[in-house]
Amino acid sequence: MKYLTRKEEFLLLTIIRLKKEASLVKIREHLNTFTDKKWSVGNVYVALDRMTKEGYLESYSGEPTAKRGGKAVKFYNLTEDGIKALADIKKVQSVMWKGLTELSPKE
Amino acid sequence: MPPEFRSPPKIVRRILQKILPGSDNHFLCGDFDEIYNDIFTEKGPAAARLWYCYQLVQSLPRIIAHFISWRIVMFMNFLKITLRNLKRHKGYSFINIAGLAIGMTFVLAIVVFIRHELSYDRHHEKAPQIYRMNTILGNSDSENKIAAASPAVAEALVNEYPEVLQATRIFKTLTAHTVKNRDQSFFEDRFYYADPTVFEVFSFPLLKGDPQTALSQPHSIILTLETANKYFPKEDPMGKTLIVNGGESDVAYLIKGIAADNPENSHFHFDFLASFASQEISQVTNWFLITTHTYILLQENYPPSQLEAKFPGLIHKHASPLFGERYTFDDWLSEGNKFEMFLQPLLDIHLHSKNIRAQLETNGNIVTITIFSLIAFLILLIACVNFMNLTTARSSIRANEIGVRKVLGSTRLLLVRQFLVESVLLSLFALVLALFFLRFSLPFLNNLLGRQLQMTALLNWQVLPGLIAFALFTGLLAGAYPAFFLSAFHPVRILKGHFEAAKRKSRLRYGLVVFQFSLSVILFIGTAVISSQLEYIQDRELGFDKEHVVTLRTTAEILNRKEALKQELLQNPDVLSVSLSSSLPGKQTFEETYRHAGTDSGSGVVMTLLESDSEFAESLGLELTSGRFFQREFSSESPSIVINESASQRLCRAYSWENPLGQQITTGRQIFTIIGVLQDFHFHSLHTEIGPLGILPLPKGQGQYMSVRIRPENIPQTMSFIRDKWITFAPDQPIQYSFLGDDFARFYNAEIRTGRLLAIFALLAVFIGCLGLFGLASFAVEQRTKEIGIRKILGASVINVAMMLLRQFSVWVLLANILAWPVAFYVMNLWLQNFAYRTDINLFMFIGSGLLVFGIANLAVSYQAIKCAVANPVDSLRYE
Repeated sequence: MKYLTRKEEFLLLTIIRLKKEASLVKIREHLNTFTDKKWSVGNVYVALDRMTKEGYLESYSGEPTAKRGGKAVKFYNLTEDGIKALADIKKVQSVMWKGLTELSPKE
Repeated sequence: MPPEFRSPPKIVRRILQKILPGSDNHFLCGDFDEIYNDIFTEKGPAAARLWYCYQLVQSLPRIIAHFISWRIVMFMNFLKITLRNLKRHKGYSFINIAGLAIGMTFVLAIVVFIRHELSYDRHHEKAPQIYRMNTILGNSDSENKIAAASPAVAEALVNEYPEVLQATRIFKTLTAHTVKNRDQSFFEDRFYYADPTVFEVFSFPLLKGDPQTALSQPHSIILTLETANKYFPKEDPMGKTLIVNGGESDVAYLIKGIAADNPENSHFHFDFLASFASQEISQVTNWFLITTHTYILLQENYPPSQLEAKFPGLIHKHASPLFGERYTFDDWLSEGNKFEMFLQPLLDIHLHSKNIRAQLETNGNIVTITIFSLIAFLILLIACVNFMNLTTARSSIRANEIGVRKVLGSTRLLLVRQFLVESVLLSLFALVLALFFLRFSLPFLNNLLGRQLQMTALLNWQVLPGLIAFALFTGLLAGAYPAFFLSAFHPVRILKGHFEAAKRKSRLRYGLVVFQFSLSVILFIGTAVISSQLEYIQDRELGFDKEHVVTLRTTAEILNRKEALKQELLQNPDVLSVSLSSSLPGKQTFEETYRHAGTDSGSGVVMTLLESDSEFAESLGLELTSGRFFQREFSSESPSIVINESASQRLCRAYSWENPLGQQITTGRQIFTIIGVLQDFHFHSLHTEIGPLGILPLPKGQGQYMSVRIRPENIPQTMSFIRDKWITFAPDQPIQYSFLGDDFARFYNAEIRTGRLLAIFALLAVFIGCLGLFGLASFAVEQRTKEIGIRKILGASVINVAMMLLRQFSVWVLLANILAWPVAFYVMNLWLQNFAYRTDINLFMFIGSGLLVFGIANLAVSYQAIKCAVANPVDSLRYE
């Protein structure tokens, strides 16, 4: 069984969170604010495209806007495979983290 | 959000638009624009612009790499499928690749050949600025282009025109030189004379000696390295002397330089380069004496036509003094005579000298190159057609794969791409194979073409990319049709098992087979016509005895004692006659215009001339129609001439004589009386018609050739007798002899070569065609396995079934014949026009070639047909 990488996990989570707003620009913005890393357009796009080809994501195009130079926007959405992959990784993680008191977050 | 859109830097935007991968280009550009606008409103234009430009480095490479990696994944899949298919169908793969490889071998060979032909004389540093002075001489009837000019022309050009930077003269006598060094002597054919300026115009590197002074003194000489090693194997030849005999007397030459060996791709090759000043002819001032090859070095970028425009004036100025006041140069011109000069670029000499006489060496021919390239291209086309044919024929085998791919979401474009990748891979494979084939066939090819071609012409960085592009092109050419044909299949119908090769498609396939076989038939007919013409040439009566005349090159020592030698030779009863002459059939001659003495008018008759002694007619077996040949003692006669029939006819027509005998003719210097008329005989090759010919008495002490007529019996004994006698008369001289017929046959070397090449082309074309037919036949048989099984059960015999299959293929081959015949007839008729004396094209050649191809094709098919017909119907019907 193949698990998602951390990057893929982040992306899928972001897309779920953004719901119908999940365009490349928005996903990137989101990632930039939630993580300390700077995400480049190329980085995000390549990961999105690969996951689309692997079947975790599907895409559909939106309306063109003036701000985009009259070009349409591409929105991403999780497929069932994508949701299942997220569920799988969450399950594995919770099992792996469970009971490790040394690492429990200080609250 | 600001209402208006701010456009990012235009150039960068365009680059992004161009480079971003196809399908998502639009969205990505929009994304970049959006972020640009966001930054613009937040941090101002500078930051936005900087960010935008930075994307070229930051994002673009990742995106591109991503796309390429996906392409490679797909490509690896194509590769895997291709290799699996190759393995599974070994026979088809072999036919496909071998056919393509053979076609490519031809194209590669032609490329090597053409590169070689085009490289002639390019090794001279100033090659584009070098021109040769050519002369046109003629009268109202005809004109001759001659590759030479008078020795006086070079100096005049340099003195009168500043744009002519330098001129040099190359001179070669018609006689071979005997070169002696103490104990050994050789006949040397590549003995040239040159001006010292030869090193300023051409780039002949000197290994030893000073190019400025090496040839400035009379009787100095330069040897090539190879020649130096031949005469002075272990010593330094510089400053030594060689004794040279150029036909008259021995002269000592001082060696003043060693030149590098001439490259093979040069329009002339010297072994010796002697100072031209040693020859009296270098001082000649008569502009009509066209004897030396003159090369000029023109200013860079100076248009040669501009210089040529000045030639008429120049010629007029220098030619006029040679005429009297009563009959001036202008009068001569107004009678229709012609004396012109023109420049020929050095780089054109090798390929574009077809109608220019007096070349230093035999040149190449642009027509040959064109024809060869055409044939090579056609053979490649046949191979490609084969490839297309086999691939489409086998479409049923691939149909399932295509259906599955389509069902799984492959687009048509992707399938097209897959098949193109497949055919390109095969053609790259064929290219590698072709390079191997060529490597092993080059020595054989060199032998046929008389060149020294090398693989290095292909394996260098200028050509290799071209080769790969060529393989890609071939792959695309051969794969395009199958790719579109196969990708058009309807997936549902295929997978349901309703696959049938559409009738329309198979018609095209048969058309391609017919085309292939037409080409093969044409090539076979061509071979047949050429060999029949060559046979005709061999068998034609030439008007002299070509079988039993031995010709020998004389030397000064022989000429001194020629009468004694003649007597000695005639002692042998098998020696019939011995004669000396300045030339022989098949050898070089000179021409002059003769007019009726006493009348200045009339354009006269241009005659080929040679000089001989009184036994010439007897030795060669020439027949007189009227009058007599020369008498043994010339001195008592007034200058006389013997002419041939065609000269006699022309003279009689020009001056309305009834009988040419006793008439007097002149070139303007000396007057000759016609004493005899000879039957026409072929002096030149059968390419040209027999022209007017005159024979003059041989001057004392001359005679380059001795011809000895011998009895047909005891030829070996007679030959050794002649050799022994010759050696006793000229002990330290080399002996060079041959039969007259052999000398004459050399005219047709080019045709013999073309004939052989065409035969090879034809064989290979038919071979490739058969490969294709074999593949198609096996496919057809496979498709009809069931039908044949049923036929056999219902009582068809083996022969019935085999005939049924053969008939189908025979119809195509017959059709191919019908198409090929008119084309072959037209082309070969054109080729025969090269000969003034030619055989007829007869129907037999056509039928023969047709039957041959028909037979070979049937052989290829019958294997499959019989295999299938013999098979047990139970097996074939069980195949479901």
